[in-house]
Amino acid sequence: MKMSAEKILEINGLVLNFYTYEGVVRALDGVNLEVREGETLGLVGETGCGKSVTSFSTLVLVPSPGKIEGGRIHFKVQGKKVDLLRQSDAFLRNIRGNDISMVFQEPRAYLNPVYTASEQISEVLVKHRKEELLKRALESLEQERRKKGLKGSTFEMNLYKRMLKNPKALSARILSKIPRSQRRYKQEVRKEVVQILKEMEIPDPERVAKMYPHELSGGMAQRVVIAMALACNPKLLIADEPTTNLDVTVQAQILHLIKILKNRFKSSILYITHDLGVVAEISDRVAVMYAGNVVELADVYELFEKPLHPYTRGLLESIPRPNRPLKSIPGTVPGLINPPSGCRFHDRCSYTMEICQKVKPSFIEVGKDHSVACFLYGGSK
Amino acid sequence: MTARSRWEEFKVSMQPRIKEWKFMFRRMRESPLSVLGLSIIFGFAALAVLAPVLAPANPQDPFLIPQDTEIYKVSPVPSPPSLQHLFGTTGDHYDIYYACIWGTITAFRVGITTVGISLVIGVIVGVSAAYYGGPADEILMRFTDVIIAFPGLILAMALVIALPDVLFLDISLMLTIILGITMLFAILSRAKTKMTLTVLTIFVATLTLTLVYPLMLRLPMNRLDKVLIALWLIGWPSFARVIRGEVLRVKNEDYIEAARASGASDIRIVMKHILPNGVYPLLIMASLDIGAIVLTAAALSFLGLGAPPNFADWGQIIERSRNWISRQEFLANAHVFIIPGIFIFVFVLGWNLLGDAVRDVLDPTLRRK
Amino acid sequence: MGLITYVVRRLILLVPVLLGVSMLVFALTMFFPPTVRALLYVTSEKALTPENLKNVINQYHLNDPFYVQYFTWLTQVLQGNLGWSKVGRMPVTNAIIGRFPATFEIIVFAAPIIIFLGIYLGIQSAVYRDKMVDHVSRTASIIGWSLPSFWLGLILLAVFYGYLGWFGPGRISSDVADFINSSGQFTRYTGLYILDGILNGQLWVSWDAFKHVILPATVIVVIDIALIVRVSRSSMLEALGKGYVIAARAKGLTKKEVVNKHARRNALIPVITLSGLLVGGLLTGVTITETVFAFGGLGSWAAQSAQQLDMPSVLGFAMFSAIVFVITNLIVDVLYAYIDPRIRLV
Repeated sequence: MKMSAEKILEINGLVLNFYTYEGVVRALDGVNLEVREGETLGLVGETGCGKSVTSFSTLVLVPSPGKIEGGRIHFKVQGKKVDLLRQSDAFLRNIRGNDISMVFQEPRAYLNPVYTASEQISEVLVKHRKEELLKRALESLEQERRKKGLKGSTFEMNLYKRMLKNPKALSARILSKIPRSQRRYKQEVRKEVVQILKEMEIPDPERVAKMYPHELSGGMAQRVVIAMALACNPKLLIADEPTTNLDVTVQAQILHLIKILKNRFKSSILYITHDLGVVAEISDRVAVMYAGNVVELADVYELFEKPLHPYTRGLLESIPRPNRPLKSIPGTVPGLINPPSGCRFHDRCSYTMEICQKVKPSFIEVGKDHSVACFLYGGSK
Repeated sequence: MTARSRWEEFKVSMQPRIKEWKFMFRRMRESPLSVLGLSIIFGFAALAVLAPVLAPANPQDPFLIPQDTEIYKVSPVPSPPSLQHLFGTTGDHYDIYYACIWGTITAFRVGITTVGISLVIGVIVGVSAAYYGGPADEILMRFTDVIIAFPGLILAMALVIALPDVLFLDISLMLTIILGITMLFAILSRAKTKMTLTVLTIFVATLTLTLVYPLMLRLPMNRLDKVLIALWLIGWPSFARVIRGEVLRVKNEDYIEAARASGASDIRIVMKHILPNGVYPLLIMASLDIGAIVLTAAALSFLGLGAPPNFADWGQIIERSRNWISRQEFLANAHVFIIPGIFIFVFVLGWNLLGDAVRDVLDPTLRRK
Repeated sequence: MGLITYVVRRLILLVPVLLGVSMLVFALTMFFPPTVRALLYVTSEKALTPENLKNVINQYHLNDPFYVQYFTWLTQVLQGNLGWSKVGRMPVTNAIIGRFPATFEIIVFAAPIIIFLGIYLGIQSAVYRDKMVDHVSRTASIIGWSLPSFWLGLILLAVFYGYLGWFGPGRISSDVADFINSSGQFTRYTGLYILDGILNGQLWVSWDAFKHVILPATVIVVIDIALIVRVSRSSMLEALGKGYVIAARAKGLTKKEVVNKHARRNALIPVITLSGLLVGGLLTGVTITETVFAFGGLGSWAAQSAQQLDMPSVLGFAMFSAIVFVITNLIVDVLYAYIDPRIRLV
């Protein structure tokens, strides 16, 4: 798919702190990230580096005791760039599930065990595509009446017309509570759910729609979650390690599915993972995160062939290869209550210089589409 | 291994646990409610210890309330608080102040013995059921279910009227029965032959003893003793169920298999691995249970089934006020029930606050955010 | 497995428990001498003479081994004969049926309030954790749980009866009682005075009965609501921390929608199981409260019987309570399986 240079998501200097019992955890220390229209940006990093937190922040859904305390999140909505951190709750709710959606790591933990798959997918349809589906129901009813040669409208058709005209009107709300008054609409919703499930390449979608999460296998559940996420055709899909908890074969299927769906639905994807193999497979560009910072951002081939940041190099070298001794990065990931000063990687870096301990390197563009935050490649602010 | 190095080994192995306990105590100290609960309990404990000082003991028996026979001859109506009787007297002129102070000791006695014995019986039954599994488990759990099917107070009522005034205990018979059941479980669960044989020998020994020269105990029981025994008999099933659940949960964990693979015997596994991990919910239950037990005992006394009329027991004093529930006299004699009631309420409140705090601290889902 | 299979399985499991209950009650009867045990088989006042009792002892093998006696006793019980109540001066079964409406009146007011108000407060405490609502309801619950119910009853009586004179002990005032019993203008349809008053068109009777139910019901509500509040709160907190709550918000739902649609249904599941246990608390509460208020229902009868060592009454009541408890828990378990689809797999 053709990628434009237009950015659909741009995160600048995002700062997020968790106020816990044991101290302030400085989880995100000025994260810089951008996702271009039509591309898949892979976000790699070890556990605890802040990848998931970044993804939740994009939806402005930070679990307490976390607080976003700086930075901007620009998202392109209806042609305009909007800072999500400064929007009202109502605006954000409109975006969530609709323009930006999320797919999660353990699908069955993120599905409500007491509702069926269809009920949970319908929820997002009803929230964001109600008008479209009401119109569909109305039109199909009108068509039927015309075929039968009848004129005028039924109660149901009038109800739909009323709901379409002024959804918040008291009369519409009261009348819609009458049981069985929205049969055709609900049918349309269910049909759409089955249709979406079909696009997820789920065999026998009607049956699966009626199943409860505990009856679904891991791969199937993940497809349902993806269906929920894509139901309203979002411009940006955030996938937070969607295949980590699945078997390898299922993982391959889901990755393949995501690639197909991306083309069909024309979304951009922010794909978060700790698996370099997956990153290589699915991304157009890659961002590498360490301890709350994005340390490198480049085209995927460029990153794998010419990694610039010492951490990226260490990651790539530590991939196990036959006939070579295992290499790892010395030291451990720092705790973020008292993070290292200056560059957070300096105490594990083989190229560390004096300045690395004192000053934090800024994120600068070093080559064509290749940015890095390291004093090896250039100056400070 | 020498004794000293074993002690060192023990200290080292306890380190992480000690650290966890320190963390828990710190959290408990910080919660104002738990501090309040602890202070209340310590306050009452002080009252109990200082009872002979605060209210000089009755020479016959400290738990018999002194009766002011002077006033009794004159009026059959409770007298209000005065200098002579700090909290007033009941209709029969028993001193309420004395009853409340010495009643503290009774309350502690009832609460702590009942929880203690219920815990012991409950743990034995629950651990056996969980560990041996199979038919033994089924039988024990059905038995537990049957007791739990009765609301506590009501079963206690039935027990209190059923228990005889003098208890004849054939100790040797009881031992024989217990050993017989243990042997049955051992056989059913195919325990090691050495242990089964040991149990069998002891069983035969006690059986012979029963038939030849039974050991009988003759215990006269007053009404409070009956209440105590009733409470002991109904308290353990809930503990048994909880500890059984914990043992079952822990039994399937990997470290138990590891222990067994390295040759640990059954009892060692239970004592060293299963109990320490399964004990937390029990602690929570126990601390919450003391309050409930004291309330049940007080209710039994109030209904006239507990301590005898001149015995120092809070519920019993309140029972005295049942005679005065008509409009004119009610308010005048309210002190008879208000004051002992405050004692009961605050005492139970203290334990409940403590139990709540313990639960908040030990609850694994709420810990360690 | 389907719901039906689950129900059938639970019904089958009911039998051993009920048998066990009967065995325990029987074991308790064996603590009494044969003359007292004979009362278990008597059904009329005339039969209470000493010679007749001797006949009863022989007729029902009361000196035979206990396993024989168990079966004789069990057959009696299954035929509905629970013995003779000294205190009630009627067969135990009649006493239970006769006094049931009074107890029912209290419970029918107390139980819904406990459940619905308790759940509401618990959920509010969880959603607004550590705010005022949370602290107030938790403190009130702990206080309620620590109060001796008879003490609370006496205090309420002292205030509302002794001091204010609004409500009083007993089921109805004496003048209303006269009207009901002697005037001939009042038909007892259900035995529930509040309902009968309405059915008879005598609303003042209902009002009087209601005024007498209020205090006992309040006592029971205050004491028992703590349990429901505590469990609703903790299960709601747990539900709110689950993944599907975040997923729902990521779909664009409001916080309120997430709480009501997603979290609440999951949070209520443990509470339903708890309602079964609540019945035990209600039976206990009713025993004490009815005694304090001289209400004349099952509870006061049982307490009186215990005090007068009336064995058939007390044990009959105990067995009745156990059966009610067991059946209620069965219904609760079935409800639980209906609501939580995961259980039916087990």
